[in-house]
Amino acid sequence: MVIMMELTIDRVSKQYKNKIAVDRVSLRLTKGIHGLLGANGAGKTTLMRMICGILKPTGGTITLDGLDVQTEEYRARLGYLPQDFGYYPDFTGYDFLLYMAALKGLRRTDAKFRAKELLQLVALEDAAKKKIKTYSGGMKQRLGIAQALLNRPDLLVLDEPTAGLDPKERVRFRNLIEELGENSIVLLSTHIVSDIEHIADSDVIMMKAGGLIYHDRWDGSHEDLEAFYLKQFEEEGQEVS
Amino acid sequence: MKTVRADGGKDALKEKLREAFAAPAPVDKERFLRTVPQPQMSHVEFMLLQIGYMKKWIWAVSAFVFGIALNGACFWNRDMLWVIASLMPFIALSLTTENARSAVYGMEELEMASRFSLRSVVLARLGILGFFHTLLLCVLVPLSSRNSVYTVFQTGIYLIVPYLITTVLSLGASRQYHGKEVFYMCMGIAALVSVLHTVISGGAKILYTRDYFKWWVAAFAILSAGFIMECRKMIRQTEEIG
Amino acid sequence: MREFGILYRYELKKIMQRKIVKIATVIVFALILGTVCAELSGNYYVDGKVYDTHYHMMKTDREYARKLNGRKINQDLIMEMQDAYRHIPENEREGRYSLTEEYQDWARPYSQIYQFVNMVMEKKTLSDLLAWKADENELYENLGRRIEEEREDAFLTEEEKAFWREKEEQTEKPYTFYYAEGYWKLLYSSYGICYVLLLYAAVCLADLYTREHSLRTDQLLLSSRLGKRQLYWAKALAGMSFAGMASLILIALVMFEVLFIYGTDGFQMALQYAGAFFYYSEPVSVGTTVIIVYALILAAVLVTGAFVVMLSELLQNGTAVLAVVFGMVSVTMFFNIPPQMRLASQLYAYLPGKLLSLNMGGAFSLRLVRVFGRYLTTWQFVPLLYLLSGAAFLLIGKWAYGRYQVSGR
Repeated sequence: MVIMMELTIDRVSKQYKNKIAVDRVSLRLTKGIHGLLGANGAGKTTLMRMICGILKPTGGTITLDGLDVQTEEYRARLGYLPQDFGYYPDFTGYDFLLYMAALKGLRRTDAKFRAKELLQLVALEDAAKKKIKTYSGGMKQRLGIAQALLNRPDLLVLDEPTAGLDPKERVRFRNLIEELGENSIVLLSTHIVSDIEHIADSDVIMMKAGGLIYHDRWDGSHEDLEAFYLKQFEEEGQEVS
Repeated sequence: MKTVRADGGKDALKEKLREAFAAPAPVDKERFLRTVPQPQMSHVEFMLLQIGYMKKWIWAVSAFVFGIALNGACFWNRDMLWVIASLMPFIALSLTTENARSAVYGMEELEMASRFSLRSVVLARLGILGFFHTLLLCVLVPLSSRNSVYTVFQTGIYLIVPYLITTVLSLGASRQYHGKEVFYMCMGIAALVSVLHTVISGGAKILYTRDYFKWWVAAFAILSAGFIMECRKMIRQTEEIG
Repeated sequence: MREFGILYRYELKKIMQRKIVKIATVIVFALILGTVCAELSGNYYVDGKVYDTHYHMMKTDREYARKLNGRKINQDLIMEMQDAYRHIPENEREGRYSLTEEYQDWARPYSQIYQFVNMVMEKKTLSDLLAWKADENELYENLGRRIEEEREDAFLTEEEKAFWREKEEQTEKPYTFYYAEGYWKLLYSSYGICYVLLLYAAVCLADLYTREHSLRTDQLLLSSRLGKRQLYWAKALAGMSFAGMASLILIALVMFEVLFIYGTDGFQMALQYAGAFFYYSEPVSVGTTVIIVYALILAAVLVTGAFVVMLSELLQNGTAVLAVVFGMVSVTMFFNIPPQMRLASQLYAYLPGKLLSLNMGGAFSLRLVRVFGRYLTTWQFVPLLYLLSGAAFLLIGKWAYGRYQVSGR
């Protein structure tokens, strides 16, 4: 059985009272890794939140294989790691995953199995029974990644996922993302350009002032991505590829 | 010739058999699992599961109030209306703090993006606690009116009004604030309403005479409308991150 | 000093800007001022029909009482009262005699004297009181006997009894009657007002310090030059002065409202005239007592503020602090320690939630405290106690504040 996977973002905008945070962005994303780059305030998080259905666009549509972003079926196929997320302080890491699994509609037995599997994947099995409030920043981030993978999402949205991870953890994370990209649409935003540069066959999407300024495959045969990224922000009136 | 012990030999044999017949490592496991439909939790199951995640103190407070009402009305034969009415704000506190938990602990974003979104979570909490509080009220009203001069209807109104004042004010406050400050606001409001009710019911008994009952009924109607409005605003707030 | 003043002003501004403080202030002020004289609203019903309004009834009683102003409660006045009540037909005396025309025309003007005499002589019915041969000496002897009984019930020492006997000799007898309903009203409302203000102070101050931790501004504050010492005292002073000022304003408004409605006369009426205070031999007027009581309320609010400051730094959780204060105030409202447990019940009576209960266990308790060879009454001793406790609470809070470590983030 072939599972189609296409995220269609069609002229999506988000306007606040006196600011346009996202300006008529259109994208079609299929299976693979898509890196979202941009300066602070470029609209990355706003776009990601709209893709996750937690922010309503003021214009345009977002669909995943025809499913509208506001439907339960869409969310059932979604995994999301926000930039800054909280937690219930009395939960252990394991409790937290079980709770998130319940929210994702997983049955208890499946949830227990999957939680243990993911805790092992993110190297938190020793800390699973400890309360989250005792975790370091990196451990919380890894727990966040684990919860995003609970329902084996077709669409995985990661907002600054490597924030708080040390270099060794970042390498592990990149390897994990590469594996996930084989079966899902992975959209990740980051300030650390090397995170995307070292992931094979990834797309690069660049945003500036709410609009797209670049979208193409990055296969490493180009110049250094960071230099390229900085050049995009120096040149004015660059068209979207 | 070296004799091999039976038990040592059996273990070694088991190990050898395991190696020879080891299952191959799964290949393309993730892609395979995606083709297999996974059994999903129903909405009812989800709602019932939320009961387990509610704080224990919610049930403890309700049990405490019920215990006081039962003892006072049945064993001490005292008029319990004023005591129970002063405790109603704390039952309301359990509803308001439970609903605010996602916002307080920064879980809104994660819960909004899940299959059973924040809206479902909030509706589940409201539904469960609303139903439970309704049951509790059905028990508290006859107990409170048992040794009282007031009718069951009057007793019900005198009990519900402090509950509604607390919920309306607290739900309004929790929409405007984030973080642990919400709990503090809700607790402060509940404590103030409780104390003021205690003082007024002791010192201004005239407000509980029939001359004023129509104002209580009007307050009940206005507060009920306020409660519904606040619930709607709260549910609307769950649809989009602020 | 200038720096401290600036810090103090900013901290005060932070408190006043908080929504919970605004909500609490509006609720407390509106409800207290709206209900302190609530019993004067509405109608008085007899057999389902409107008989009179409560306000008109108060005005009528006030007019009658003022006619007796300055008269001594002596043989003449007692006999006048009995003669007036004798107009009530005999067959009506055991029922609702206050509804009879005779009561309204003759007896009602003397109702306050009747209540006093009845309280002292402990007559069960009107007929019993009218059957008693009026005797001023017997009246005041009976009063003296009952006062002695109260001293026994309070488990006083011989020195304490001697103290009160000496005080009793200083009180002027027979009592001079004055209409003082406004002051009585203020006295009887003080307990509820105190209860509300204690909780109000807790609501405004419980997260004064913990908020800095939850908002994560503590790192910036504690690493600044004035952050570890001056800031603590500026916050504490701002918090306590806010609670104190708000309480003072509310008290002033309550006094204005009550005295405006009931009248300001009767300041000099003897405190012992009232049934709740007949045992209290201190020669003090009801007006002076009102000032003492409301000053005690202010002191209770301030010491509670200091306690809340200390607790908030020890518990690091504003909600828990609120819960503790509310629990303590509520427990003192509903529970008593038997007077036989002398020390425990005396200390219990000093708690802010108990002090204003205005009965034998509260600020007007007969029990004394010996300080530097002098006996002090409860209302004299408590301000000193509160001053010392408040200072201790603030110092403990300072110690906890200084030890706080920013971690776990």
